[in-house]
Amino acid sequence: MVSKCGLRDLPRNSVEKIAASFRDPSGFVFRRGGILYRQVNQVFSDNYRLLIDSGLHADLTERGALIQHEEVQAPPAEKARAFKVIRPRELAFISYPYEWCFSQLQDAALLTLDIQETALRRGMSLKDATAFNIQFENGRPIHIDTLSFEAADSGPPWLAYRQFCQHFLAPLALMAWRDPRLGRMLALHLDGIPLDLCCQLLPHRAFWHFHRWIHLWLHNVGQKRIRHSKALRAPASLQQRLALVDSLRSAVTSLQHRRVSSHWSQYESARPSYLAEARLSKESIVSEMIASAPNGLLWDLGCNTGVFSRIAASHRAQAVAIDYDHDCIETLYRQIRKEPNTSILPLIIDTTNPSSALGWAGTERMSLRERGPAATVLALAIVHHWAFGNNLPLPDICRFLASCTDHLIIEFVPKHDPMSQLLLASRQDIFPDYSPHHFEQAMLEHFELCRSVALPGSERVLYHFRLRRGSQPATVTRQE
Amino acid sequence: MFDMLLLAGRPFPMHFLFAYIDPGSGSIFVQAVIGGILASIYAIKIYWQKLKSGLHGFKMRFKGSPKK
Repeated sequence: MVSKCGLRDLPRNSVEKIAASFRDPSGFVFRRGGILYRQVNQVFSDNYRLLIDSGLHADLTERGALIQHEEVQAPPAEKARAFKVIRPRELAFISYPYEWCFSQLQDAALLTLDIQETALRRGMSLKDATAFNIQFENGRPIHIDTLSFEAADSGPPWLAYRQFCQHFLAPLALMAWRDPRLGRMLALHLDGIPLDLCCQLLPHRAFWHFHRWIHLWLHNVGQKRIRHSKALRAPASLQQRLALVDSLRSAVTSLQHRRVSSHWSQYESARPSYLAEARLSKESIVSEMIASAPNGLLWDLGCNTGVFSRIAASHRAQAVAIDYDHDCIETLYRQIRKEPNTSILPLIIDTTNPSSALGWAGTERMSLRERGPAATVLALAIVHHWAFGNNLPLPDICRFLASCTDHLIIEFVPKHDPMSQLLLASRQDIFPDYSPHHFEQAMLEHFELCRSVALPGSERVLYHFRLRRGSQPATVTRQE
Repeated sequence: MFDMLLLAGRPFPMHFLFAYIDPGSGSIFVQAVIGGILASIYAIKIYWQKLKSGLHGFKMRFKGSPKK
């Protein structure tokens, strides 16, 4: 992994091997003294030289398709196997395929195919095609594994063909033909969705496309029939390899996500709880509060279509826009990928059930909290959803937020607010402790108040809290 | 139909594949079966694109020539 996520204060010379980097014998990623390195093993030396000498590395990094690195003289983590140590450029935040919307996964698939085509034309090939090798930076996908390349030999068209179909094509087909929320299945199947499961779930009309039929249906039949045969080495020409990439590209681009109009994606435009003036005022206050918080990673919890993430991005290096609604994230991603430079990373995460640690020994893929803490968290108009929609007590909400960040900008929506009343309309009010007073008391257990502002035209209040460092709770003074 | 495709496949020498991920025997066999078909489609596509761009260039030259 190439990320600053989960960075802890480590002793200067201690070596921490990154838990996700164990499958490929070509090398691994480790951290020493807080700096991220990748060890290239002897076994990969020929392929590494070919990657550099063929010009493939320079070509891909110049296009922004592959992460840049520099060769360094740092001591390797495992000297006996080491060939070189490289220092990859670190990303601000690592995301996972099960947190992406349809278009993010589709763009990641197309980048993988573009890289494979470029590699083939330079005598190399991708030896794996896992979606975990792709990350998002500046609104665009980027491949982060420098050791994924090998010399294209006389074997079959693509050894990573099955992996590509399971990691990209199968989930994309399910998202396009059934429901975009099925992208979450990638959290259950970390090595991609099995093709037999995919084919069972897809409607028959999904296979009425020649390339989809080949790579999903025929591929699945082939897997079932040729299960016990020894591995086969079919001599493939460059033309056949390029043809396979072209066919996969046709299958990927044939899939479209059409519905981008969920209740929540329309929420900003049809929101009845704000007048135009109040909305402008809220944007202005939030902007001031963000400006007064320290620079760094910002999480926008319940970002909707990212209005406040955009404000945050104008102040920050990286804003991670988090919402559980697929269509909100899809809408935001489609907007930001048109922009030349953006620092917003939209992700589908349910804040009441955030991504947990997954994979081997429960450490391979980091939980959301392990990828923190964020320098600042925005939690605007979400507390009432947590409290009334999920029965979350205020002290629990505050404890969770305190574990995520040092600076918290939060909007409290009182019980009399029309949106709170909407949530309570069909249920019993079992929340006697949901009040501004209890909220402030719960917050002050963990945070100290920097500033609070009542939003004009409503009873809502915006707060800026800073994580408390072992002092007693302070009294709240509100700026009207 | 799938059995026919199997028969249409060429006999492949057996080797151990030096891949760190399991490419899947069935997946490799499917690639071998479809390889020729896809390569033919790809070749036609490339030549069609070349023909189209050639025709387009000819058309533009014809349009761009001064009227007498």
